[in-house]
Amino acid sequence: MRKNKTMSESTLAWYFVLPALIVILVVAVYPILRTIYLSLFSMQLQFAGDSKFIGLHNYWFLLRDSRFWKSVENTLFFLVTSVFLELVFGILIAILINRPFKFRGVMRATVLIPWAVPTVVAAMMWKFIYDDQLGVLNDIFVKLGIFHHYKAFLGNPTGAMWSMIVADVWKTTPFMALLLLAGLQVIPKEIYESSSIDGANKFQQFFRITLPLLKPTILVALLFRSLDAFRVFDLPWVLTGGTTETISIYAYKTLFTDLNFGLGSAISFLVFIFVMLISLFYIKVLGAKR
Amino acid sequence: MKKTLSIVVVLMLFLGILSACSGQNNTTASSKKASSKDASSKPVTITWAVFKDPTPAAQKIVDEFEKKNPNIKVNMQVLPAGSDAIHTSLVTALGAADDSIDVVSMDIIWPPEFGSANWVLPLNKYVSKDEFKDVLKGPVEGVTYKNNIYAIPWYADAELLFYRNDLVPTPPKTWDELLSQAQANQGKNGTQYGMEFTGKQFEGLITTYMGLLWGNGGDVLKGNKVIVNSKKSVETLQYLVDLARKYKLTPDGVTNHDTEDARRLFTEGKSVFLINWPYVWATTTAPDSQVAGKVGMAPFPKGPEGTAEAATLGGWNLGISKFSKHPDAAWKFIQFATSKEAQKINAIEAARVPTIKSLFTDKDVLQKNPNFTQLLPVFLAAKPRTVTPYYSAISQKMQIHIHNALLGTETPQAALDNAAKEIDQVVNK
Repeated sequence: MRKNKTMSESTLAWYFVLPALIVILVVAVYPILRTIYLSLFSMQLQFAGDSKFIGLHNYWFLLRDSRFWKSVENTLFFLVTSVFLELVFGILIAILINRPFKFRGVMRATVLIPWAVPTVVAAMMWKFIYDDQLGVLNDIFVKLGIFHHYKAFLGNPTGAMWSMIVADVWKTTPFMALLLLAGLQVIPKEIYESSSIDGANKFQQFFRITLPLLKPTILVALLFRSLDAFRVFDLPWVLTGGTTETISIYAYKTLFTDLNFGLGSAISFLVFIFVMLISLFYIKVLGAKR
Repeated sequence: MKKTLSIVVVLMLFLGILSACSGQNNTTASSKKASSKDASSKPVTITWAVFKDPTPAAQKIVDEFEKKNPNIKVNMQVLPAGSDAIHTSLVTALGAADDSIDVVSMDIIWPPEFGSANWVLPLNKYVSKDEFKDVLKGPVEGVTYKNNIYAIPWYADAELLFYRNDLVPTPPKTWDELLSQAQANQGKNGTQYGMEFTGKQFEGLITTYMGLLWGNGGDVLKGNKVIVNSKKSVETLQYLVDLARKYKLTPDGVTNHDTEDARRLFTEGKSVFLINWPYVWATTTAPDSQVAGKVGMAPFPKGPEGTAEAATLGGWNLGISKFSKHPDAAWKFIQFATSKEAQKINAIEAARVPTIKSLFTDKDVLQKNPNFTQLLPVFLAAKPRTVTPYYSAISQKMQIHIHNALLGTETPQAALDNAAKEIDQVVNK
């Protein structure tokens, strides 16, 4: 009886986590396995009875599919550019709102507004801002004399991509700034005081103290943002509907417009692989520095 | 021993929750089944999945039906806005064999897809083709696939050419006329552009292209053969691309203009011609319109290879879900909602174009919609887009490549060759 009690210490723990494990199995592991399974079939939803096992053919098709690689290229370009800009602006804003000044509380709250707006709503708003007939951005540029005519920002792939990046930077820089602000606040003030006694100027302080001590926070922030940016859907969907097709949009259209569940599942699984690789990369970098 | 026992207990608790949820479903389902057996005596409730109607028409049709059939109650289940979103929502529900929908509203391009998927019932036992004598040809073709009728036309829609009749007294009959009239009048009476259409990468681009393509005697499929890169098709795309890129008749932003963007530009008086749907008519007569009384409507003009003018058919159709527990009650509702009486309500309350030809000469309908006289020739010429269960996929491949041609990243020939190759993979795999 007594022996049993000591054994149950660890088994009891298992029982406690069991419900959580079951939930994870049902809502996360099962769908992933099911997606992998479906991706090995040729399956049109409107002819679900005619599904055929075709092994890795869907993946082989994607490897040679120029539309797939174009969507990967669009996604990665968007990811790298927008996350980099968000990081730069995020650090600047975080440093700014970390300093004591009047109305700092109001300032911190205000900075967060773009992030609080739902992405779809923000995307609709930007679509109106960029409009080639009535858009306020065109109006401002023409009044400032930068343009002579209204321009169609969303009318070509390059313009649409940069419009998307600007909108995303506006929307998620506050999130970056917020995370980095938390990181800044744990850096002890004494380090700055002693370094200024040693004669370090502001730039030296930033590159020798702030940045190295902020690195773990930066990496966490980059991880969050990169994963989000890789799955970007709302912005390109609302702004152009496909001129700058990202991998999520390709997957969505294949699944729900074409009803091609085999190929759509293969794309979804590749998204999963990419996301896992990104996570592994950051975790590796994070772990190495700890 | 104890360990396994506890696992079993936990699992049972967990499964208990699951079965509690599904148990509830079972009881409601079985009670539904019981009531459908004697539908004549016991009241039945059916659910009609339909888009949100901003007009009172849909509700009025339901009210009239319930008055006539006191034993059947109709519950309207509102679908999301926009055809693509409705498609996703219906596919998700029907693909999961959801039995909560009885009457399914379908855009004209879905009946073959939903029918092949066994999501909607063939209606052949309720209706025969002979009963469609007074119905427009286009919608009937659109709801019929492999001799099965999968839906009944509820109302029609057709993309067509709007023109400024203060600038263009008679609408163009040919592409050349359209081009020269647009060039000659661009800039007159406050216009900035000769031409406007929906050039965004979406279904609206295809409806525009198809209207022109049929007017040039071309098509997408001939049986299972892909003919979308034939000479007639390339010529059509070249014409559309030239309007925008060579003659600069359209705004630069046309490559991202959706239906409403294009509509707004025309009602603001900025364009001589517009390719769009009949709903534009009501907005041109609204108080804030710059073009009230200056607008005419016509079918798409003919191309050099074409024999007849064409227009792209749209419109909504009603079918019965395969998973419905009350197919007979659902049919009764469809029969009424698509009847002359209900289509008249729809025409008067919502200006929706009837699919029954004799309503185009109905006095009450014309009094409310004098423009229907202009619309009849367009609707007689209107054709359904390629009737195939793969339509959505085919359209998507075309959207990408035709859009590329408009952007200038592919030549019309290359764009259609690529589209043809991809469509062939879909249709003949």
